[in-house]
Amino acid sequence: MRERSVLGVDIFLIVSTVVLVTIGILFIYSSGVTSTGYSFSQEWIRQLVWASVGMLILVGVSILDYARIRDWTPYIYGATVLILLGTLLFGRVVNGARSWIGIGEFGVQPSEFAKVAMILLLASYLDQRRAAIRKPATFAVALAIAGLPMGLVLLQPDLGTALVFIPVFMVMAFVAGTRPSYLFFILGTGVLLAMFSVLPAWEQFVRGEQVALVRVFTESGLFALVLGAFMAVGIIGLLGVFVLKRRYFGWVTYGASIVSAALLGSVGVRQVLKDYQLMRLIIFLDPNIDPRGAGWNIIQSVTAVGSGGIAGKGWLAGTQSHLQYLPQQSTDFIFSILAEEWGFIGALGIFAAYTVLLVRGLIICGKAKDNFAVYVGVGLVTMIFFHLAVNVGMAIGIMPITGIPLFLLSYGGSSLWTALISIGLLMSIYHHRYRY
Amino acid sequence: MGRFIAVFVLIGVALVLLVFRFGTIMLGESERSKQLSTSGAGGTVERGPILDRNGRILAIQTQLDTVWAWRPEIDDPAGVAAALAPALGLSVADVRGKLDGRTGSVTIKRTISPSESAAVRILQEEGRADGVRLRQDVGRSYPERSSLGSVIGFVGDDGEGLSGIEYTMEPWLLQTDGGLGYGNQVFLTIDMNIQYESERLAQRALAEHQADSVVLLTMDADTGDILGYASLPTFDPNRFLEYSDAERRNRPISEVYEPGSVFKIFSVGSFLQLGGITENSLFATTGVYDRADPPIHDLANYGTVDTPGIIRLSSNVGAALASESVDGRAFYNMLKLFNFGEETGIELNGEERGLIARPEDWSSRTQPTLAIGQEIGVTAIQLISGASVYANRGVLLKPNIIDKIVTADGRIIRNYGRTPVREVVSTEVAATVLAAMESAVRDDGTARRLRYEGLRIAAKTGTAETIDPETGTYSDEAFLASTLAILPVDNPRLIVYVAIDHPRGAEFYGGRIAAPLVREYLDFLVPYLGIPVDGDTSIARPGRITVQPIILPPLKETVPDYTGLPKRALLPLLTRTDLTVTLDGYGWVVSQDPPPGTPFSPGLALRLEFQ
Repeated sequence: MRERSVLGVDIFLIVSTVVLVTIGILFIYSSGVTSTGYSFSQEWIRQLVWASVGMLILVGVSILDYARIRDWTPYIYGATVLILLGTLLFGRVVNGARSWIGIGEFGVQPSEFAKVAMILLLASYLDQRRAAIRKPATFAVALAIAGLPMGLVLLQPDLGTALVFIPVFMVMAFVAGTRPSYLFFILGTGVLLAMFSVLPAWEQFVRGEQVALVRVFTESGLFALVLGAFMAVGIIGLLGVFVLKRRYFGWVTYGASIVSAALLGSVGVRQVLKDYQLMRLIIFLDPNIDPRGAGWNIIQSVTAVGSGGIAGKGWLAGTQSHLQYLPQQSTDFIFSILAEEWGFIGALGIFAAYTVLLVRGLIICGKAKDNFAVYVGVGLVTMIFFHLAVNVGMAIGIMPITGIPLFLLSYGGSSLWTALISIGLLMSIYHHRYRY
Repeated sequence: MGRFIAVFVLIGVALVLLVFRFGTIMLGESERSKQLSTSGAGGTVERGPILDRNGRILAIQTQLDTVWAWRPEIDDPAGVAAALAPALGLSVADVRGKLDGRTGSVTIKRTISPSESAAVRILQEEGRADGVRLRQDVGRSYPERSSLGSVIGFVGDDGEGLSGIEYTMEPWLLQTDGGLGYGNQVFLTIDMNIQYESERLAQRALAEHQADSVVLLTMDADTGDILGYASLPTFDPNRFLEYSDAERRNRPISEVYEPGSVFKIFSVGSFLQLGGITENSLFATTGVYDRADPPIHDLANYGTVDTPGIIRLSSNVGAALASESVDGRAFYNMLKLFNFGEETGIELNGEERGLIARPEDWSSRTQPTLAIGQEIGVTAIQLISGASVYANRGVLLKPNIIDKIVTADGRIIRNYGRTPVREVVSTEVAATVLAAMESAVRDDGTARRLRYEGLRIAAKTGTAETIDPETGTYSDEAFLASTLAILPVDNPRLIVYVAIDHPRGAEFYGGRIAAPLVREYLDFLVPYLGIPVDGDTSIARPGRITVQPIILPPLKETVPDYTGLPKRALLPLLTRTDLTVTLDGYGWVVSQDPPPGTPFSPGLALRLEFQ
């Protein structure tokens, strides 16, 4: 019955994908056109080629039985990690990160594909360990599966792409049934870590005045005192658990550990990232503190989006983009051009297409015949959603500028193929939803 | 399955929030963004002008064209470059290189002159410059050109003050009152007539003595206002990029050097104030002070000298002996009161604090050496403001370079004026030092070449050995010749300080080259400011009313140089019948055709371009 399943395409999924890719090419063309109608960039042609080849890949992946793919996951994952390592050693530096590998003109960003590889192996592992899913050891191994490629991407350093691994891992582990307290530990530590890391930069650049609390992070003596206090509380809590045999002391240790880990981690982050780099991440809070520097992208992007109005200025008629106010306009800020030229209505159309895509993705997960497929599907949907939320958030100034592309729309072969492979996988799950 | 639904809901909620936020930006803020996207970034306030104390314009906004090109429209870059380069005075290769840039639009030349604009327009009409555009650009023009360059400073291409008054007073220049759109006017204390004369003399000294640099400062002794601030070599802020950092350096505030004997007025004043010596103390100089290693010498054996004698004869040995009368820390504190080792706070950027070692770091030689102006680093501005102590009965004044700030519609919003810092010495000590300095202008004094019949002048000369930067020791041939003068003694009105760094002629003594320069300067200053001179029967003219008439150079056999002249001064030319004059633009002449020196023949067509 394989023939029938191939023909039983998920029409919503395929239509929204084709629509988004087509609109993407239209606006990649627009981003390379000047106000006088001269096209100075050939990016749209390349995107067209990638999209055509990508569609073939999509079809190929969707025909493959994902159960077969599952057998390959350790090799796919292993190869990806090796390529990521190779990228770190021999990669090409583009925009400050050693994230490209390839020969001559042709190159790929392995970090894009690594997300899918991670999702596959993680789903396979979580499914295997279903019986022991609440055990700490299972959680630790799962964390390592996500953490290894993420760490390698972080070393490139490509913070934006690395961050994608976190929500994908969290959602997949959550759906697989991991203890919520483990996930909350990661979530709490992550949130606190982010706050602690940027606080000094926030004080210096955004707030512009001394804030008493921030001294904890800038004065080493005070920092050691606070860290010591939290660690002591954690140890006392442990004593409570083991000596007094009262479980609730465990929660004291839990809370203290979150804070301690975040405090320690923030030291590490500030070792790696300079204050001005942190400033770029938080400048979306007030881009006007450096309107010609770090805040430039945000101001220009929000201006472009806002100037679109309800109906937009018309395709190829945007001023902000055609006067080249926006950097990276075919990748990171493609949405700004779209919003400027097609306005609110056009952007709503884009949201609608993504919503169809995401909802269909989740519905497919609901219909999947096994847990591996559910985990893969949820991971892919989360990944696509996270890219959408962060990229659009960036364009409208509510998210840090991390430079992650908008799947399907943004210029770039690696991200486009990653998206198309993901959709191919979803379709494969859909095709093979029946047990035979 | 419950968890799966939770994820479903979570993603849905997040999506709704995102669209909601997007909608508010798109629909709510669109008006503001529209304005922003049309007016573009950057302020709309026109930067205010900088003027001298009499209102002469030193810096003003101009509207000039900038040539830029939209590369995609250029089909034949080589042809466009060949056509454009001669019109702009650039090389073809240069223009070609710009046209090969990577961005869509390239700037070819900023703020071009009106005639260059006209040439580009002709090219455009002829269709030889497709894609080449002109854009009105706000520029900054400095009509006095290199005069006072280091004080005025300059602004960068983005219209940001980068140096000098343009930098330090930028908030005032850009502050607009009541939304007029015009920034405030900053009036300097400088009097450009005094400035011209001091720069003329400094320039002559620079050439005559082949010196490294010459600084000639003039201060109003009553108020601390800097009236003249000659610092040579200087630069033209209109073309600041063409100069080296050394030429752009603001020496009077940033060059730290050992002042030499001029400094004795401060050391002797300190000893007097501390009570270590009195006016009548006697010092048995024998030509050498050997309690220091190496010993300190005088030029001759002056025998026994009194306190004024130290200053009159510039006796190093006398000053060294006098230094023994006080405690080192007390001496140090006195010098700090004179503001040595501290910034004066003048409104210019890049002021140095100078160098003065703390007493705990002194060697056994430091105290006598300090007394003769060595082992201390000062700036010229510190020296002249330190001297204000003696012109003001012991009170130190802050040097002023800003006179007042006036709004675009003429309302004074800030007056600077006299700013006393502190009382440094008593009235009596100040009078004693001033009298001693006056004695230096006597027949046997070192400043005798400064004598001015009928005018009582207090002065001190100095010839400091400068430290050779290569060896770190005193150089035998590089000197700094200087003179400080306060006048008139009975009611001081002016302080003049000149320092000639590394004169290379036969003469290098401060008394021989610096003092005569000040003397010549006084020939201009005294009548100009109406300083009363005994025996001069002419009525003293009130100060600062004279604005020298600008003289139109005569047009005889050859065409003279008209650059720098205001339009007003050129009116006589228009009445002549033997030539046709075309005036282009407003302000001051920046270029002329035919060039100066061209033989004149009746019927000549003269074109003058203003900015």
